[in-house]
Amino acid sequence: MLGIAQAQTTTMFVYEGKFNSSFGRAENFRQFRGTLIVSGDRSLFTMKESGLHLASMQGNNIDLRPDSMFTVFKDVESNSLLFEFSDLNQRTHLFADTLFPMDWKTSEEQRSIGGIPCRKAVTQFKGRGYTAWYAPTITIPDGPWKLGGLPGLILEAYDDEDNWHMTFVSKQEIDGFDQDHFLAAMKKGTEGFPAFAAQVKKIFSRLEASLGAQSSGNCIDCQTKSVLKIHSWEKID
Amino acid sequence: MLVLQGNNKQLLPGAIPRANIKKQIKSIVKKVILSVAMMFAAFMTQAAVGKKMEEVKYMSGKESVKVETHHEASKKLEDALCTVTLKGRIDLGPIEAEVSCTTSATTCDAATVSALSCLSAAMRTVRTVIL
Repeated sequence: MLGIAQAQTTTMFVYEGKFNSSFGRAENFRQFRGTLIVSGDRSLFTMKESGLHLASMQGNNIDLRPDSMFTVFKDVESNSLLFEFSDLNQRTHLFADTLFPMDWKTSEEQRSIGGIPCRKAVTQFKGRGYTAWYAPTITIPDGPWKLGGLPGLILEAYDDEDNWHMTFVSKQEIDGFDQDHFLAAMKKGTEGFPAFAAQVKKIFSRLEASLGAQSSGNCIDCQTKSVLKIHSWEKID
Repeated sequence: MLVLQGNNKQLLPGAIPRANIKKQIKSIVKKVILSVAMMFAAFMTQAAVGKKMEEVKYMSGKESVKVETHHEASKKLEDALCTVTLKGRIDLGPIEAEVSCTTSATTCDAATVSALSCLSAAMRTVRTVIL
């Protein structure tokens, strides 16, 4: 008897949204296109800025944002999650994090997104409150960025201040996606979130040390002080 | 016609008092000028005296006045300080570093110039670290 091999389908869910890189301090919104590629128990989410984006150093603003942000690889089978971080030299690093640790509170509120009925859930994650609208009819416990773990695919997600917002717009079947890079990193072993936090602090310690060499004001009645602050989307202790 | 002029009080018959008027005017003008000069002289004298007195007063209370003046100047300086803060950003997406320079000076122009200088130097330092 011949067995019927079912090819694993790969679906790409497309989101449109925004992100304010000066979250909590100023408004610096940019439009993004998010893609969540789901293949079996594995998925890859990433966000790319709409339009052309080039790194730049202009005046007092240095833009080193990578082409793809909020890139996350999830593997439900191995209970693993990897996320990308781009450093000051625009080198990307992979770090591991807990898969779906958030505690969701679901409600009876309903709405339709893209013609698909959704339900509302809220949670607190890495220092921010998030709202997610998930589709019970799409039994994929996944979503944009690190969010997921609900009994349905998250079609819309945003934080309490609406600094980040992703909304599902379309889906399409694709051939697949390159998982080798992420699988190799998982096999090799990847440092976790505390290591990511430490690296961020280390990078900016360098900056702080360099700025500390600046002299103070050069006039009798004036005084100059420079201060460096780090702002992270995810809470870093 | 013969014009004979004596003093103002004596007018010869037929004399036209034109010259008297002129003389009178001259006399009045002289008096006015003299008065003004005297008044000016008096004023200058007063001023000189006054100044002298003031100087004496100033010198006698020199130290206290100086200190007081100094304090007043300092107080005015503090009251008039203008503080300017300028910020620069290093955007890494989900991570952002913010450099701020805060300067206080007696004028806002001076404070702005100092803050700009500080921020430019800071961002140059950051670029050096990056590159």
